[in-house]
Amino acid sequence: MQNLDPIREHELMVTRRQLFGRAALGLGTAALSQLMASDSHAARSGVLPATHHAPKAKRVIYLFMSGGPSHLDLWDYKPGLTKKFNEQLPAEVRNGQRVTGMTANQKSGLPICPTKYRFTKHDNNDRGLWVSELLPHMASVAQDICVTYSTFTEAINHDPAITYIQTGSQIPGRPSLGAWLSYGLGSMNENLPHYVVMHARTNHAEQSLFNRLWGPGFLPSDHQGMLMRSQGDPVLYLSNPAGVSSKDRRAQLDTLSALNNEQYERFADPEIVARIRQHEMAYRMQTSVPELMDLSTESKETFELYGEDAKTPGTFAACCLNARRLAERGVRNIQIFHRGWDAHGGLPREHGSQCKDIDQGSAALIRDLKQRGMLDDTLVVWGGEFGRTVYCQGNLTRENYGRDHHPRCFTTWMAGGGIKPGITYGQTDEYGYNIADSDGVPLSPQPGKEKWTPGTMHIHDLNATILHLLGIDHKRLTYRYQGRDFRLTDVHGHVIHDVIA
Amino acid sequence: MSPRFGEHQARYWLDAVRYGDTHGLHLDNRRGIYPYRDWVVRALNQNLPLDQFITWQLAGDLLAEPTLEQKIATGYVRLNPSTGEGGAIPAEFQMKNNFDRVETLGTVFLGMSLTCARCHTHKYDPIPQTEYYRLLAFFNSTAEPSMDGNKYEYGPVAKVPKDHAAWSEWSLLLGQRRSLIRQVSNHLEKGDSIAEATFKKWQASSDADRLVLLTSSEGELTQLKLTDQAVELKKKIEQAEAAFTTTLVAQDLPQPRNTHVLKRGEYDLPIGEPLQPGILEVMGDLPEAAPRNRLGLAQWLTSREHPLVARVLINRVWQRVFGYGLVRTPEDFGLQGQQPTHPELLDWLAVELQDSGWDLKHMLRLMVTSRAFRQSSAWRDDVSDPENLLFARGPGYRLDAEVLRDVALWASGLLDPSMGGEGVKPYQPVGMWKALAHPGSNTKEYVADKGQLLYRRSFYVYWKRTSPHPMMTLFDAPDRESSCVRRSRTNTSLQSLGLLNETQRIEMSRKLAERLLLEADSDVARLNLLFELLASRNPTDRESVACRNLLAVMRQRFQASPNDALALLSQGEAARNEKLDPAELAAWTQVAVTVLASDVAILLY
Repeated sequence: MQNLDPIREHELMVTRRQLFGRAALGLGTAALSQLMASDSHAARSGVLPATHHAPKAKRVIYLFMSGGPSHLDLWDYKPGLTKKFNEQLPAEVRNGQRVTGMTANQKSGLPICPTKYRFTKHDNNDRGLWVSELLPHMASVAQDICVTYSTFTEAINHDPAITYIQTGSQIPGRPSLGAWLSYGLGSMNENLPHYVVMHARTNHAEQSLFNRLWGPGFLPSDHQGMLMRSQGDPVLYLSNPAGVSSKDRRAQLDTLSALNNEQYERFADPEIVARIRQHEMAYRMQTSVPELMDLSTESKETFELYGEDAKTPGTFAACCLNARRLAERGVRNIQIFHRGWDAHGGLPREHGSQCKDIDQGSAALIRDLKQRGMLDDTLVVWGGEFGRTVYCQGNLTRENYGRDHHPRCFTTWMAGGGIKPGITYGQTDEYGYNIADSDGVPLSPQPGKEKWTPGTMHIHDLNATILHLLGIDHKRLTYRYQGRDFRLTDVHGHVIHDVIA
Repeated sequence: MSPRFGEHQARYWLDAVRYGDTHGLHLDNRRGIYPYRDWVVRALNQNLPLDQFITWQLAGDLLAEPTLEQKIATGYVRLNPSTGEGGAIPAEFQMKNNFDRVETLGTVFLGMSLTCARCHTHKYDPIPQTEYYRLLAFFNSTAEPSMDGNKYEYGPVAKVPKDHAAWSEWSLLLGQRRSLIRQVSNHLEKGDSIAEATFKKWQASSDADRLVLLTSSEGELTQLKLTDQAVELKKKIEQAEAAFTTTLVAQDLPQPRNTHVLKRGEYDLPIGEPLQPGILEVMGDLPEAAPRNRLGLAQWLTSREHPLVARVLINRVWQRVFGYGLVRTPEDFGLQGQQPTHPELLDWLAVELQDSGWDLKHMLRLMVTSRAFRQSSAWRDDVSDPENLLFARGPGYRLDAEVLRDVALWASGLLDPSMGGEGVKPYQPVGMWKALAHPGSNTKEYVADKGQLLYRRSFYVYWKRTSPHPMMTLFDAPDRESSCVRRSRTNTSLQSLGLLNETQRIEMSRKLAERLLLEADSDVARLNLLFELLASRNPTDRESVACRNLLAVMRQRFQASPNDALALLSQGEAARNEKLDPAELAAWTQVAVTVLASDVAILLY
């Protein structure tokens, strides 16, 4: 495989247009109708003629925890901290890390805050997995997930950090992960969009989301994610207006096709043909989306698996169930955003509620995919934009506390789609503050995006690994814009083979 | 020329300079800067020469005795997305804001990305990293804080009339003040009845102060018997000013900030000595006597010797007329961009732009009256040029999001042509903002407008950067978080749903249908009128048959189900003409929706 060559791409495009041009004028409408009929090719292909290597995953379901979940209260077990309650974080541990404007000047300094939650160890295929009592269901899939303790980023505030992990740049303007996948791989189905985004309900809607997180950046805008909503039409403008039946719409579309064909015969613009197809796909979506959203065909067992919540549209569990249904129907790329993880104060109350939202649904998704034989080629990713500090923000008691943003290490997990099941990757020091070696000694020098250090996973590495599992070499999926070949991982990123089966 | 000219042309400029009505980052709160948007329209309508158009925006505040308009224009410098996120580090955002300004300047005026040079010397184009930071130094000393505090106004603002009507009134009042003062000045210059001191004070005063002098009920000026008139005028001016709004403007700190090269672009890794503001040396010199501030920067950009600015601007003008630029990568004139298809033409146009006194209207007139533009867009068998690189066919492309809506508003007679003012909010599906917004954001609730505001031109639709109106983004409008000098033109199924189902599309079609029923008296005449309005021609036989088939089916259908007809006709706020038969109106509404969604109406040929 060669690098994508824009000139070659351009020539391919020209050829396609010539074909259409000649088809219209040389062969007449018979050719046109034939082109229209070959709908099996309507599933749009990506820019890559073939993947760079055999993909391990066909699709990805990304569970995004917006706000920054506390690795220390969910995954990264630090029993030694109990004794250090309210002690100041040693300067050598902080080791030059910048502190946000929220805790930089607090009177209490940086007092150590042990988690109040009990952790238990669960068998996996490695040295076992410690899981907080907040995530009992996730603990039960310890055998299936690969937990990374050493994910890290440079950004310490939400907007830049979430933009960074989703687009590879802290400043808006670049394509999102999902848009890159759409651009590279195209779509696998013709009745539903290729990239679907859902926003799950939360009791703590702190922090905002932005269209740019699933946006196309400078890629053509049809690569943007489609928001599937739990309020009103699940897809924008899906329903016919009141008084218009499906049969009426059919009649309208027939007229529309006739009008557009007339234009086509005059101008031979292939875009017109493409548009006729899109109208037809929209018509099919009017059936396929309600069918997708109709959970009445799901079995009692399924609802037992996902929980009662899954019957309420918009809950995280319902989104997970929808994600599985979308995956079954050939949607390549599904992302669920769950907000409310930004626990600067009252963390136990907020994280308690957040974990209730996501725990059963996430675990059920893994189980469900597995029992349907889909986990092997479906990559599931879970994580936020950064972690939370070991020191407390605001008042500290054993029972109640808050934590600030922490970029230097945080926990994410992946499952299925070519990921080694039941392992952990990387570790942190006894404070859960720095990425450490296997003896718990902080890595020196600090790991950075410039050069990969074994045992670490920069957010660019995470994205490189996701692309790799889908058959893409992150260095070779590029788009030339303003004279530069841009890619998701900027000039960084390293595929973490240690987590790949 | 119609004032619609300025609105239409301004849209492209607002995409390029990333104009938005909200801050863009984090809370994405409201931002007070729409008077800048309205100024762009006025400037283009008045055909302000483009060199001044640029200068005012970059450095209006640095001109001698800047006018209010020149100050408003500096809103350009304040268009960068900004944050008020708690915990953000001001020094970091001071640099992020500047990166954004430099890189936007690169895209808008130089047709090139300078982004590479933020971290290292540009790999392809001759831009050393030091020069990137010299350019950045021009912007590093503006007076606003690096964080927006989530406020509507932050940093320097100007107080300005709130919309075009208020501007007209304001100009009228100022005109009256000028003529009153001229009257007095003439008298005083002649006069011997006035003490020297009074005359000197008069001469040294601003117009506003002179008016105050005239309102005094004592002193020598009372003999002119203009006191009552002056008092009256002053009151009117004060009333007008009381209704002013604010707009963000640029202003420099008294003491400039130091600017350094930043290692790998990291704000906390400055290297070397502080840099003087400076230009990119490969693109000529700073003109002699140019000050080392934004005004000097503007003088460099608009100097006759600048190799890129005129070419970059005229290429985009060509692009908006012909659908594609002579350089098809308007964002990249660098080594990696595409070569111009017609280099001599590009050069000639660039020189003509300068020779004409940077006259945009002249250039547009040249283009739209050219033979190249007036050609048919129909496919040519004799030229194998599918991409129309030769421009051997006329342009053909799908219209922009705003135009799609405006055409229908216009054809239906709903269009409200009022100009200017705060962004407007047409119908939008519920919950779209709330699903994304921070609970503390003041843009989390979308409340659709009522009445006439629903029918304003799309140019005025409120631009929330993290979630612009879906009928805009669906048809490729950018989010305006970063510079866009070329919109993509995609073709998606979601567009089909929008065209056929969105509330305002149905409402516009219904009013259009009413118009057809009232203004023409047979099916044939009505179809002719419909096509005349949307495509400036009569339907072909096949088009006519297709539409009449639909009409017949719908007529029958709605006659049989009058409730469905009424349901369809109840979409949107505009009152229904009750005198018209609902079944007939519903049937024509369906025809109008369909033709409005078809390539007859959405393509430009």
